[in-house]
Amino acid sequence: MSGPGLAIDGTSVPRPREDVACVILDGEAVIHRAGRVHTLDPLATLVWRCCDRDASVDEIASELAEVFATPLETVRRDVSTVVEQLAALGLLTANGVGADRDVDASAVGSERLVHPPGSCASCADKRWATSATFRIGPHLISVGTDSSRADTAMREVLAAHLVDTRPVPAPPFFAVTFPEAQAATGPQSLYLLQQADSVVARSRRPDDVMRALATHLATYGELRALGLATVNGLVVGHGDRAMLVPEPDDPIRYRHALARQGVLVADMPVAIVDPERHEVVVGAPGIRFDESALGSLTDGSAFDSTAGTEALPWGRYRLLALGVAGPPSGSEALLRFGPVRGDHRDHDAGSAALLSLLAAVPVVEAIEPDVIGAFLARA
Amino acid sequence: MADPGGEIRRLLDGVPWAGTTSRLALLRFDVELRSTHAGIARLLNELYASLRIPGTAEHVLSISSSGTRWEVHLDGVRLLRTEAASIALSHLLFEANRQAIDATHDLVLVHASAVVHDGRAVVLPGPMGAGKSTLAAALVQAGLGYLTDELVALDPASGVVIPYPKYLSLGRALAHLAPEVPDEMRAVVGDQHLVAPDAIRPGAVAPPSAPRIVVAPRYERGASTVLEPLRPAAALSVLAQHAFHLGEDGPRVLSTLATLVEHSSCFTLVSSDVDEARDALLTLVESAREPARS
Repeated sequence: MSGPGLAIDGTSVPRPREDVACVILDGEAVIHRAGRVHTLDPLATLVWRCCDRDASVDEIASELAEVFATPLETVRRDVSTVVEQLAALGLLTANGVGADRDVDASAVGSERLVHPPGSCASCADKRWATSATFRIGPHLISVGTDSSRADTAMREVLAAHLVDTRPVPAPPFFAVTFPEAQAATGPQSLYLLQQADSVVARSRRPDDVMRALATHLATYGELRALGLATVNGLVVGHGDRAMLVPEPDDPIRYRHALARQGVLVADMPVAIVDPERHEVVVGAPGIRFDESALGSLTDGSAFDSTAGTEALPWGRYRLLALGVAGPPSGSEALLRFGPVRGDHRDHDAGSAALLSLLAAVPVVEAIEPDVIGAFLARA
Repeated sequence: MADPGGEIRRLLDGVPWAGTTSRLALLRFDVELRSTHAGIARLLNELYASLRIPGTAEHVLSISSSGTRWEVHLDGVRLLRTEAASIALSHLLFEANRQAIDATHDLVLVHASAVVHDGRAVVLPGPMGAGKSTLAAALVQAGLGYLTDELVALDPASGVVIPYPKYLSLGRALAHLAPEVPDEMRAVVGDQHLVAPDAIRPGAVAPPSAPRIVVAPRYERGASTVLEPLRPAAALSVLAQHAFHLGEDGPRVLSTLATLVEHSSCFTLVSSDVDEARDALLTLVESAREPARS
């Protein structure tokens, strides 16, 4: 086996990688490295055993040829082949071949978020025309799209975070879909923000989706440095007041029912809270979001960033209560608003924030829209 | 979740649970299982009865319903939210195992079942669907001692298998061994056939035992039952492929498994019939009085 880059010759000095674990039983080696287990046949095991003494391929071949009284050329060919195979498997290094072959340079210093919640095989197969990678706190987060308009817009509004526009090997953590890139366009076509197979925000306005992208990205940022933390739940508000309620089973119907009570819902995947001031932050704290660049999405026409918005506007709101179904208690609130494993957010900060809120903000029995409406209006 | 002041535990203790297990030692995972559903709490108590220890557990793994959804939490951190009670219960059982693996680093863990004959453990490594649980249940029913159907925990110092006698999850062939599921629990249990070892045979759980036989079973539809010797390196490879924590602790794990192989007779077993497979293994354990290698 001799492939491109496997430059093994007689002077090569093969050495086992430092991170292999090996046991030899009855002349056959079993080697573990990087999550894989390899079993070597007796010939390969023999060569393997000769690779820990700073001997070159030629020296190993000479030694084995003498021991087994076999023509040197035959042995040299066999040894070279085995060394190339072991180097290709990442078990040996020789002249640099096989060294650090698993290092993903893009991962150094930042954790690239992959496999968003709800990932599935079909999500992994989906290919997007373009993707951009943003540095959000300690994370690298890729956003894919099939729309050149969306691609341009997100690079402009989030320019301060853009680190890379090269395609990434993994499926993007988010995807933005504009109507022109959807199979069936029409008056009802929506602008979408997706995570895996789930639509996490939808609107008839492209700027709403860009804002939703920013708010989602913010929840993965360094909120702790801003005195903020994420807790689970839906932020609902009226005026300058807000409540936190559990995620409903049917978010769209719930949102409409609340709207009829004069209560708006924040377009946030989780709640961003200020536990010291007992406030909820709606928006994208920590994200440098260039509102002026949203003009590129409106075909040059005048842009009113507040027109038609059905969501709770960005800003700070006084958190009046945590609403739960059934008898209110801190225990119930913990189960409803506590952190979710695997969502890549700062759980410890979220837990501490929730405990602080529970010490200062009442838990009330209120998840029905009319009850919430009355509570917020009364307050 | 960090809980320096014990506040989260206090809140968890305030949840109106319908039932809770005793403290359980799932290898090194020290936990209580709790549920807001009385039937689930009763089931968990039965399934994990062999793993009870006295005292107060460090962790709380829970399954609860909220409106139309079921949720699984570990120490207040939500692990799963689903509409199906059966999915939630399956996830809780899976999570208990996963945490047992994550919490246990002093022992070498292999995805395998294990039974005991005449003080000698038989280790049955294999992937999900290989038939190792069903085979273990058949052997326990035939009189062998029970160590585990999921995680063989080897003490690297002594080489013995430490029991992890959780419930057994049976294939269809031995589903009749599982107790009948009450009507109100059918939707919760789903199509799983779960049985405590003592329900198969009272007193089935065996003490720590030295392994002397390794058999890698494989269910193959329509296949005749064939038991064949396995080369030591191949046996080690099979065990290593089903071992945990190899990435963090490769040399120690591999050498512990190599010791196991060196002290054991090793085989593969291909079969499509659980009775034939059980009989082949009973014959093997009766005849294998002395280890092949020492």
